[in-house]
Amino acid sequence: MTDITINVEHIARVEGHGNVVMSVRDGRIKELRLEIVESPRFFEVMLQGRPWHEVPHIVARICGICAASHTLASLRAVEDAFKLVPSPQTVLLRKLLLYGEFLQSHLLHVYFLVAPDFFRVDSVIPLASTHPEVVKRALRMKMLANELCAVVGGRHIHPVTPVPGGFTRLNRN
Amino acid sequence: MKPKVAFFSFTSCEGCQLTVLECEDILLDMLGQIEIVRFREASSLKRDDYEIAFIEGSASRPDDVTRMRKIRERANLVVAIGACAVSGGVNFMKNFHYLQRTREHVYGAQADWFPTTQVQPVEAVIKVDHSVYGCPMTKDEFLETVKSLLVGRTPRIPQYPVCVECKMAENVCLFHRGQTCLGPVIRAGCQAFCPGLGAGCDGCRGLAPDHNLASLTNVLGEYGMKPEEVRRKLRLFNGYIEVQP
Ligand code: SF4
Ligand code: SF4
Ligand code: SF4
Repeated sequence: MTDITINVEHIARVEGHGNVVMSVRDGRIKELRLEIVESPRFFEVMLQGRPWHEVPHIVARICGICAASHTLASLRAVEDAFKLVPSPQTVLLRKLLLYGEFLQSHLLHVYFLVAPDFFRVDSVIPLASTHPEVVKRALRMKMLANELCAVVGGRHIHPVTPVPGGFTRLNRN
Repeated sequence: MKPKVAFFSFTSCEGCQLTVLECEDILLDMLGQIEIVRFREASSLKRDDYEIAFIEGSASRPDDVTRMRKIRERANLVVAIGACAVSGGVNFMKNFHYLQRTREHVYGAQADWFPTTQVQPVEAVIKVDHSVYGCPMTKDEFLETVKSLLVGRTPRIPQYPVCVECKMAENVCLFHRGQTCLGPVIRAGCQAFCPGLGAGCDGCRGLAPDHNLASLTNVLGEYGMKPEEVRRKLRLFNGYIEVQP
């Protein structure tokens, strides 16, 4: 039997960067590696010497897809440092922001990243012509999830309003 | 013939690519006008016959410079999308720390596993034809740029500061509430997004042309900020201005 080497450089339609390297000999996998080739950013160092109130804004930039989660985790860290307990209303609103992000990220995952594999197409683009209703519904749901984040956090990618202790502004509409 | 378009991602949070996918209401219309031949986050297609390259992120790994130069050779137009690409964005803060110490601080004995260089915005490596500002870039400005390139005109990007949009939105100036804001020197185009939400502008869209930093430093001084604090505040997104040629 022949040896096979499979080398997938930069796996498509995943969040983040990865390569898959596999070598097969006599029908058996000799080596199977998932290489994470994400470019390192060094946030731990970038944060040094910055004022505490900037921390949530800086660490949100770790990832655009889960920016709200990074924001919320860092708010908790800053509040812990000050022994500050946010109000029940703040906690509830933060949870709403978090759920909005879950929704947005899961919709992105299912419809944009995974679905094309099941239909054996490159991306969601061809699905827009073969299954227009489903794609349009997915886009509507994604828009709703984004709006949910925006109502609480100002926007989904890198929220603006959540700050240690609460929010700069509450949406009263 | 639809123009062939590719998206590339370097050191970034991928939030600007995501912003493209978040143009939900107009996404399908836009896709009808262009042919996407490469967009790793959204497609497994990988072709190199693109005319327009959108680049997200900064160069910060040894082979990033080579990759960017390849893109420049192949593309007719290069568009930098988002602060990371335009000016280094938050990534640039890393350049104010010693590189080797930075690597060891985060990765300890494995520091060599993660090669990294000083952060460079795209324009420090290759010629950039257009920039879409912001962290993340705004959908409107991205769409304005795509539409402009499609019809062959220069994208209309504001040349005045955030304060102009803030006044037009009839916001109460944050300085009146004892807060601080970089709006007077930062390029508009976000509709004074942060001041509108009660948060001071952090400068993610970069300096406006004809800004007056000296004057803003004086004003911030009256609000208790020392000049070095103003510089530190600017470094959040605009450290590049300290070394820009
Ligand atoms: S500019 Fe901001 S949103 Fe865009 S990739 Fe960089 S960190 Fe992410
Ligand atoms: S809040 Fe900021 S952007 Fe708005 S007018 Fe005041 S300084 Fe300018
Ligand atoms: S107000 Fe300033 S920090 Fe906020 S989005 Fe606009 S330019 Fe960026």
